[in-house]
Amino acid sequence: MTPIERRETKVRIRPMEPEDIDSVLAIDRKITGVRRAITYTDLITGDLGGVLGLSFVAEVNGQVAGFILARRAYVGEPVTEVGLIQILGVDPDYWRQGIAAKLVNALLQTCRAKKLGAVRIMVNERDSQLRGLFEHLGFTRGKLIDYTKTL
Amino acid sequence: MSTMEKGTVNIRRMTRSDIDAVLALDEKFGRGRGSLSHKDLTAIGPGGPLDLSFVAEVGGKIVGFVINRLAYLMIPFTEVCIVQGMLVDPDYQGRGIGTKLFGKLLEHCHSQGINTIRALVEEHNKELQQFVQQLGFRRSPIVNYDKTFEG
Repeated sequence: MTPIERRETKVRIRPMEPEDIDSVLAIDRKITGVRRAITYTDLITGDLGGVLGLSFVAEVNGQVAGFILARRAYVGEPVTEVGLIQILGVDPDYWRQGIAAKLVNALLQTCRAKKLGAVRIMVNERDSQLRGLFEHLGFTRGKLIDYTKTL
Repeated sequence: MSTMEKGTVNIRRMTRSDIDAVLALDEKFGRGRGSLSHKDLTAIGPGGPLDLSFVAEVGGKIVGFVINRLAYLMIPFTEVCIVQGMLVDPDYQGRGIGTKLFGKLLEHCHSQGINTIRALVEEHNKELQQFVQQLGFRRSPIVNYDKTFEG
């Protein structure tokens, strides 16, 4: 058990603020191990996270330990607006503490309050860990088939 | 030969002023018979920075459309064009209008450096699945997981 896990953890979920960007990038890089995915530009100017209205961070003892980036989106038929989860990340030092579930539940509550019809995540069907997490949280497999064309 | 069969097909970007014509076409011939709402289409923002929609005109009349949007999706984490839906007036089908709409879309995406196009097709919509396969789209392992809110 690491020192971090021994601490009494108090998880606080709050809306993401622009000031959280550096912490979010640091966790993303820690998870992926490379400087691959999110860039500062993506978060500032891109479609990612939109206006951050549906994005949250989890703080443990005042430190950002996880995040969920989501936005209102139209993805797939029927053409209705859903809360689309784009990235969910938890610092590996804080895994197995229910932080991901707390982040997703915060998003669900907000989307329900905003009268969105659903929350959606696109998952690789081979990723049993991620599928398991969302099934545990009450998500069910949808009926959309993804067809992709690469130019 | 009916007058409907005459005239050349003009493919152009969708604009906000096309919303009423697109809704009328969807109301008359769409699978869900009016599955598109004015609010949803306005939110998609035809002509806006994230919109990649096109309409097909014959003799100045809109006879088909394909609604597409630029988005970031989690897996793989890249800028992608999402095909939301398409429709061609049955009176004008068999003239390759759907193929022309997609052709223009692919050409535009290529010119903008958007290298991935994804069409999320409902499981039961075999006709659209067959169509996108003919255009070179391939089924991916990405599936949607949803949590819907009742009431």
